Amino acid sequence: MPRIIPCLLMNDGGFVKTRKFKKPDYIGDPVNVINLFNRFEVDEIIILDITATNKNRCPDFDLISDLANECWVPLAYGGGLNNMEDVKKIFSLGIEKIILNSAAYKDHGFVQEVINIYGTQAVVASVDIGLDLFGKKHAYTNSGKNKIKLNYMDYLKSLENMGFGEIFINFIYKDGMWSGFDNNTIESITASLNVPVIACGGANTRRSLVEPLSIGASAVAAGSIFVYKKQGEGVLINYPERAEIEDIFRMANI
Amino acid sequence: MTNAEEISILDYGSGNIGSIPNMLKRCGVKSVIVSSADGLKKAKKIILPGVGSFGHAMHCLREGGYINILNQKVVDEKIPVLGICLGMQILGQSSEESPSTEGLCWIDGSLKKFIAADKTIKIPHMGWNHIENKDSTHPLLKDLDKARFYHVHSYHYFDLPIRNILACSHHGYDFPSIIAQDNIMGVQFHPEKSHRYGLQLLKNFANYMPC
Repeated sequence: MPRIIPCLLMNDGGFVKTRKFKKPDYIGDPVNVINLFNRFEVDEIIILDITATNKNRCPDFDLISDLANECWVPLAYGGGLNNMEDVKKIFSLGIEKIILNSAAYKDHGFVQEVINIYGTQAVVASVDIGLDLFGKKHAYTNSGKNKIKLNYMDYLKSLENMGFGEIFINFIYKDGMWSGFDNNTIESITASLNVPVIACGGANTRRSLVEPLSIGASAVAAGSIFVYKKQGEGVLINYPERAEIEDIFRMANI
Repeated sequence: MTNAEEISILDYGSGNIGSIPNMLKRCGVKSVIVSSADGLKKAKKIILPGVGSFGHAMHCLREGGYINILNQKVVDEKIPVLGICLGMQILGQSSEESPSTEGLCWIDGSLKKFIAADKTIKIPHMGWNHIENKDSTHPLLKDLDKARFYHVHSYHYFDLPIRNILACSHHGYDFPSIIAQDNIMGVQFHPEKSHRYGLQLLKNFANYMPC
């Protein structure tokens, strides 16, 4: 069954929502937000610490522990993970999956060790797709700061070959913009990869969630539509009811 | 708190047990995390978790000196045990994942990797999936009609005796997702991460009375 996943961004102990990976807007206290998503019986939650890697600090273990205790659905965590000791600690706190972005690019030995010990299904590669000055797509690490020279599709395939169980793809130019998914790119990616793809970035309505699912994504993730009332309006944690989700799946012919 | 027996959650070094105690707390069931063979001596009910590989999990059980005491509690004293995910897989005899490793051999069955008939079937099988009950009278399935659970796995049982299959899930084809043989039970999915359905299943295990 496909999954519809709230993607929540952690920044200095709070949850925020960004636009094009910038302008973090405070959403709320993380434990409260998770508690609200629990009540909606969401499928799974992704939490990304968006500053850990660039500030060169380790994950906020105390907060992650509180969130794992609070959450009764699968939790995936990414941000600042670059050594086995921290990975071990994260799993011991009750996180189901870890997400590697910068480390997936930089440290293949580390990735192999994580996959060997925890299994492919517990390790997600995250790739941020952005546009350069000429409008050309590239993969980026370090929260959109470092451009990867390799063609992004080749990079994605290399991640698949490394044994990642899933690939989470976030579109920087779609982040927080409510402008719809980049379906063409998503479709070309899902057609080229065999591992499950989670598509994120650009959702503007609940209906729009159907699009990545109908073109091969195994899951769709979104931030803004699940944390704001509407575009440009205030915070309102929300999630579709089960019946609405079933409708979305029906529309995607799943 | 219910009158249910305290549940011993075995922490033998194979992956995260973090969310299992939390979910049991939500059920109102007492639990204790056991991380030594001695700690199992007083156990009345055991949860056997596990993530990672079949071989690694069995290696951890052997290295930790758990095998004898587990056999004594589960096979001789017949206390209820619930294997979760990989913890369910090692109840069997062997797995394609680690061909040279023998499982606990409490249940007559072995595991093989999913075969993807086409590109829509992804491996690992990951995500929420409905279960289809084969034996709705079993106490472990109480109030779990049309339930769905969070699955994450690449291997599944393929040769279990039908009487041991309580429920199946479908991923390309049907495979056993809840199994039982007397006091020995196993679930392929993660009840501790399957919100209200998982809560109900763990509650059912907590209330399970051996015949």
